Amino acid sequence: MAMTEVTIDSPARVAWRRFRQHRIAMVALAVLGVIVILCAFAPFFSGYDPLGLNMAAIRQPPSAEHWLGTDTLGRDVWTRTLYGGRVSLVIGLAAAFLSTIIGIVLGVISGYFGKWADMVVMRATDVVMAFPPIIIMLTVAAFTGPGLVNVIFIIGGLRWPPTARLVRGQILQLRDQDFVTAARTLGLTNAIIITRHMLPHVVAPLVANITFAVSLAILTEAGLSFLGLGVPLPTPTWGNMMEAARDLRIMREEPWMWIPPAIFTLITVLCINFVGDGLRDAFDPQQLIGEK
Amino acid sequence: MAAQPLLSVDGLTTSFGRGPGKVRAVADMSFDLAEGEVLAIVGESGSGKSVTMRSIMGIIPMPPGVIESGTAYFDGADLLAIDQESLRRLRGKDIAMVFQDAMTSLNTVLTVGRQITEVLEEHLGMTGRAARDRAIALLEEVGIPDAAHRIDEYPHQFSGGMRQRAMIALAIACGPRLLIADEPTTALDVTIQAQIIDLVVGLQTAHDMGIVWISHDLGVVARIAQKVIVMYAGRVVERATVEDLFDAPAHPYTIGLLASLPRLDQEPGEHLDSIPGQPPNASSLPPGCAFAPRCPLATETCRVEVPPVITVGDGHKAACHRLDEVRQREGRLPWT
Amino acid sequence: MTRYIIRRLLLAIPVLFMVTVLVFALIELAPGDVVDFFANPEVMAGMSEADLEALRERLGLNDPAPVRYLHWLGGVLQGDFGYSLIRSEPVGELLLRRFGNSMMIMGIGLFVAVTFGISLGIYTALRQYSVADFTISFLSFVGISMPAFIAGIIALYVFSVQLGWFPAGGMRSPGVHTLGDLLHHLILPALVLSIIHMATFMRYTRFSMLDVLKQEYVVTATAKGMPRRIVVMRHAFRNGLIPVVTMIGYSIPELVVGAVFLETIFSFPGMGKLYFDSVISRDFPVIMAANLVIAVFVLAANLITDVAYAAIDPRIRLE
Repeated sequence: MAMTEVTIDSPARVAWRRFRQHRIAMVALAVLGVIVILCAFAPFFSGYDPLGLNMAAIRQPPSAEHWLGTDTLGRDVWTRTLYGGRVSLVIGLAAAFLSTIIGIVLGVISGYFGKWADMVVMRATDVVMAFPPIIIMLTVAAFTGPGLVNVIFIIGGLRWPPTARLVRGQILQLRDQDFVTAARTLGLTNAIIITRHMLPHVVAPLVANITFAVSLAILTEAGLSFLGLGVPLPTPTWGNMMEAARDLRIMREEPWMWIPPAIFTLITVLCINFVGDGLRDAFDPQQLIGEK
Repeated sequence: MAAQPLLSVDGLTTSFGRGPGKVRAVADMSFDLAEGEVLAIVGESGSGKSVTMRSIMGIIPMPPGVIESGTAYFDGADLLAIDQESLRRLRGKDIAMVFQDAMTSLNTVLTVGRQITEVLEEHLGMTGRAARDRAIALLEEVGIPDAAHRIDEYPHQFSGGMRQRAMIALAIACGPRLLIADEPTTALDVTIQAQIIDLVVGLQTAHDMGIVWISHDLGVVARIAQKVIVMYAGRVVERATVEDLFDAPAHPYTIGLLASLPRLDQEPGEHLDSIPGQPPNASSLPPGCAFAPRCPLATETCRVEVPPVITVGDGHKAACHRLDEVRQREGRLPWT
Repeated sequence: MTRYIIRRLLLAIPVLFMVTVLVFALIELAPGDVVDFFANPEVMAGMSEADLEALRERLGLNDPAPVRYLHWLGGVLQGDFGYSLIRSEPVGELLLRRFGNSMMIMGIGLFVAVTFGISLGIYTALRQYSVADFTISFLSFVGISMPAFIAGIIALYVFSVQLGWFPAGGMRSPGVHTLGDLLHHLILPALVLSIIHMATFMRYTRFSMLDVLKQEYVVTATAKGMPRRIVVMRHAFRNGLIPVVTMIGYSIPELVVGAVFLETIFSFPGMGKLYFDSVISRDFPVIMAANLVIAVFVLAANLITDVAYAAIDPRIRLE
């Protein structure tokens, strides 16, 4: 019996095809790739030690030896920008990962089990969202003390409410659909119904949300570090390098110390947001604007 | 007495998009409408009946819509050629329109009264108390009880039938000479449908309006229209008076439509015939007669040549290669 | 409408209560207490351990946490936020004054963001796919990716340091008390604060307008012969505004965050700078009060947003 070959594209493949048509997002992805490579393979692009002091060459403007000049302790700014990018990107990814996990777990609990679980989780999001994110983070950061791991936990632990709400909304919609009722009638356990039958449907709307969570986390780290409450020196991050600009003399006379990390942060965040925008269009052409 | 028609459309062609994806929604549409006459344009959804009238009103979205050719004379002016401002002054004043779904066609954030008074302000220069009183009178005229109070309500506070009545009040506010009714009863329950049709018939007599009634339902058309145009895939396939159309339909498509109407003389349980197949995709029309793929009488000629328009009686025309065959079969097609 | 507001207010009470618990708990989690903080050699030299213990007892610091919480809450409910540890001034008065200053920056920033954001959103929606639309939409994307502190240092560097158009910080020039001088100090931080929100509002308005302009009632309005201006403003915009209003309300927390950064960068004596300074110096009573005031401010903004939403959309009014 002759059978016609039918190939059905997976949703991810369809999304990727649509994403490629989003020209700005493709450019952004390429730029992002360059930045990630520069940071990840920093030793290949710089001969200096990011922590190496050189009192003989402090506060030097950009030159052939020091492409972006040196800071107040004679460390090479270009080198510190690349190594700082590593830290900023890792914090951004880790914190976004953490907040997404928390958001998914709480969103699923709230949406699937409803009743008092929903009540508790939703009131908790209300309470956390009553504080502007950075505000409460400043207090927590001041008490827990600065540090890379603390920053990840602070950002991840306080940025989950929007994700939880999104997941809850999706789960609520799915809960009453026939295939879920069918799964329940078959006597499948809640864990299997949730992970195998419901979560795959939540992924698409979540993908763009995760990208925006990464860019938000990068900015949050930069903001905390800029105020001196994030990752402490001497470890470079884009945020604590920009802290130099809080010194009016450096801001005015030695802008090469803070402009490079500022530009890297902006371009990185802009590119991630463009990629996120492209992903959102790719996964759902209806919804064009999401949570900021 | 050769009275000038109220509306005279000639050779209207409207398409959407450009390049390979271009869709010709209306092709070479022509008709005349006399003062006080009721014309029905009938066809399935996507047949171009609504686009025809929206093109004339200048309310199709452009882009992607393009009016490629044609004229539409109303009161001596070509609606397709006059400037936007002059057309705007005619819209809502001399030519008014009633839409299918009054829920989405009325603005949810403005009161029903406001949506009427703004027309009176714009076209008749009425303001304040005078406009409000006139709006109440209009609502009363279309049969809305307690109009003096309901004028301040929002569309969502009206029932479906009441909303359509309000929509009609809105349309007749400035005493239009031409009313375009775009399937105004389709979204309503059958009993409400009848009320709305009676209302429009009454208003038509009282105000002597010309009406173009767009519908996919020949049953409705029989109750209100004097002349009928049947469209299929953007083209006119048959035009006739209501009597001729029902007594002696010439085009196989019209015959099919009539056969699918339920009749009172039918035995209970008797099979209702419907035309097999689907209307063609407007972006890939067959080269010949668009109805050929579904037509039981279609020949090779039908599939390659666009059928000529043939006069079959006084004011009765049809576009079909096989009219002789239809006549020999006395309008009985294999599926009827 | 009144019932709706009352119901919303009642719903806010448990959230508000949890907020006070959280504010208190945060401080509890902080290592050490007020006395430990003061017990550094410079400030409290000469105090014996017994003296410190007596001080603890007198300040009620040895009571169990719930007792201290109720004590604090009781004071707060009577408008008593305690004394600042650093500034020796009642926290209530201090906050009130600083909050007023912040409101000037946030008020101007929000006003500019709303006016220009919405106008640009309408403008671009009406000219979709034009060069202007593409340019403004792209810039808005840069805008939403631009955090207040980076925009702040760049603006300070360019407009104050390099161009010298604006003072580099503060709220008033010493000894000058004119409105003009005040505005001169306010305008740069306020405009920077408005950027991110302007971009957000512009994008929402554009999106919302594009959606609304396709609706049938807009076609009806056109078919009624309404002039384009009325079709756009009365029929489309009234509907298009509904989601934008929600967005304005939700942007308030971000506005406060922006104020913390910009007031710090521009040395502007507002609540944001007070908050940051207090966090750095661990001025507990001020931190607690500021957290509380900010949370109440955010909750109030949410409430106003929901009421405005109900007022603007008649379909909600009756529910």
